[in-house]
Amino acid sequence: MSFYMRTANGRVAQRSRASMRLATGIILAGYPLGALLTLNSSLAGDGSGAFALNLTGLAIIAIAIFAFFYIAPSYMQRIVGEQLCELDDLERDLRQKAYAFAYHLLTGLVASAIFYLAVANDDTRLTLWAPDSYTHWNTIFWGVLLYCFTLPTAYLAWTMPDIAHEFGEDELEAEPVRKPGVRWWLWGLIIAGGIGGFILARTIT
Amino acid sequence: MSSPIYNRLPVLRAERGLSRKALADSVGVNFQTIGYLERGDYSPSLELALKLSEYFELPVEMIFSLKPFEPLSRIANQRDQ
Repeated sequence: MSFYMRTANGRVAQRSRASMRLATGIILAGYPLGALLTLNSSLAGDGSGAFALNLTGLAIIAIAIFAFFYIAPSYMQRIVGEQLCELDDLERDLRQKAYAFAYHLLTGLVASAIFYLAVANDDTRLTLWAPDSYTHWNTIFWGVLLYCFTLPTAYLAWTMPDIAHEFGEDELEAEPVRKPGVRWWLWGLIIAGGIGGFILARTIT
Repeated sequence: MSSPIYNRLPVLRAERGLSRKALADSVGVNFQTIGYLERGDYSPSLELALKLSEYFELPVEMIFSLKPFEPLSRIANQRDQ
């Protein structure tokens, strides 16, 4: 699951491989780090220490989200998020590889997390931490979503050869401008999901 | 692991004075795809290989090969001798 954000002029935003590696690294490492700091800020007490820790965590999360919006209109994100009919041979091939990698990694992470939760909830002698509040689960949900969106792109950022420097400005400028289309079904799905989640949350509480 | 597929795309493109962009538009792919093909980082699908063959009006085996191509200068030299 991923998406691609078309720029206002319809061109694919040019991003170097190094910047893509950095941005995906910030997202994948920054979000969990920020979340850990924010969720555990209470361990620093009730004073300014906890506040500073909370603020630092939120700042790191914000940087991770900004990094995602940096990669969202890139060529690599286009490969993983654009409609399939818009992609050529190579891009479809790369998308398959990126999704396969992301699937393997995500299933591994989910299996490990479930195993950990099972142990944490079952064995009271170990006193392991387990999510127990809405804030915890909310943080995990957005983290998983961010990982779903970023992992395929991160794979491409670390495996695709960098050939951008081989193209002259004239070639990059000559890229066809395509008027961005509105994917109503996607927006419908997002809004329906939001409404559904809201109703579910209201019903449960 | 699949063996690399060698190609003569840079030579054919240079002969015709084509930019990667122009060739890409002609066969309906992204111009970066032509770059990856020329570098040998990507092996084309049968469909793309046939489209390129049709575009250059050459048999597929003259554009793509499982063995490295002999330099054209050497072929021309041998022909002259």
